[in-house]
Amino acid sequence: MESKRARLIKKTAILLFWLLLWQGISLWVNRPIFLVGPWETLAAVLRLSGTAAFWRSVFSSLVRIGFGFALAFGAGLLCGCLAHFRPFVGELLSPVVTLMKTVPVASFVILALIWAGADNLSLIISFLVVFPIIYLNTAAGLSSTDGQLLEMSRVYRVRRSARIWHIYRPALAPYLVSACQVALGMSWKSGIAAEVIGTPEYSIGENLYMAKVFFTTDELFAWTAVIIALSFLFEKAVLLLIKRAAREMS
Amino acid sequence: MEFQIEDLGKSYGEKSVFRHVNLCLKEGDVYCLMAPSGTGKTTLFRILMGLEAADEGRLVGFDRVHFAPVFQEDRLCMGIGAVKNIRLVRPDLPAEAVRRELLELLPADSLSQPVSEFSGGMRRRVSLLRALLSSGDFLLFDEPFEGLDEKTRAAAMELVKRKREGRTLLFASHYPEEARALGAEIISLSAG
Repeated sequence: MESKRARLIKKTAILLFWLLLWQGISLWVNRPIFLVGPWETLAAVLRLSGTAAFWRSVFSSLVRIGFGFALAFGAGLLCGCLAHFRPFVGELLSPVVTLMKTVPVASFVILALIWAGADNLSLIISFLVVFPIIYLNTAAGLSSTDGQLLEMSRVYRVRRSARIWHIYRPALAPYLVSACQVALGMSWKSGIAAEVIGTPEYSIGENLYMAKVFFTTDELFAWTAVIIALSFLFEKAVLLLIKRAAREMS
Repeated sequence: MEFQIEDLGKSYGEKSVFRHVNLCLKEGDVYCLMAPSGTGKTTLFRILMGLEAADEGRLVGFDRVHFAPVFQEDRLCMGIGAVKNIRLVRPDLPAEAVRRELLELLPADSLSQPVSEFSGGMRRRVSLLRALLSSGDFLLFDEPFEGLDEKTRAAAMELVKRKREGRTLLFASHYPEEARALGAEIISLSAG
């Protein structure tokens, strides 16, 4: 089996290969308005991060998208539980969830822009994208609960809280973790896309839009790199929290 | 007090599992249900516990019973240890008391492991002790000693004798010696 050090060296080498390829192509194209290399991107990130507007934009987008995700996580979990234990709720929500899954994000963005304005646009879009993923996975996770254990708990008259903690939670946890892995990336992509359309003041989307308008390709790449880094950190932090909550308390 | 099973019948579609089952069980006695495989022992137990409905007949005296079953499968929560599995059904019992009981059946180091890491025999012992330590007043064991080696089986039967504490015990088995060892009255269930 590969050692930890060997894996790290391999990963670094792969990353270096792609960065060098990117740099090589940008040198070959030699038109910064078309394509900038990794060094120019890094330089733009460093330049932007020295301004207060940069941090304000990052913070605003992070809060809006994060809040939208958190709301959708709570609502999806609650509604998924209700749909499992009260099948009528599931039937009632079914058309809404189908709508949320099938309507293109762009349509939601325009509607939300008309109804709620640009300020909370990424929050609403993040919510709309994340909710069905969490809802459906919660319902599926609860349905996968071991029926034999539930029978055992019924006959032994196990307390409801213990039943939830020791029987339902272990069944639900893997579904929630994989749902979050998908939903976290989706919330960022859709939230930023919504900001690009709505251009709320002090947002990453607004900065991306401005970079496009003024042909500052290095800033476009820099903001994209920032989005990737934030999405990665956001995903790691949320998954760490969920995995910790899901772990058995010994 | 007596528990009566009157003219009980169960079928799945066209297939009859059993018909006209009549039993009278005295509270505090030990009974061994012996029957060939597929004659509905497990189904009968499930009906008694209220997990399935009978198609015909009636049960008298079972409505207020709190069962303490050993299922054919161990039905333990795999992610947690033996002590927690038992305290799931007896939260009022101190962890230390459960530990002491378990140490008579399992090696000490196993008590810090989740039951997913236990052997089949160890899980069976936990499942058996869970029933015996539970506050159930009617012990209902479905082939409780199946899969145990001779030495463990003898220890498990000794445990049942020691921990039954006068409660009614109805257990299914294929072996008359198990019935003899527990001083059980044998009940036969025939096919159809």
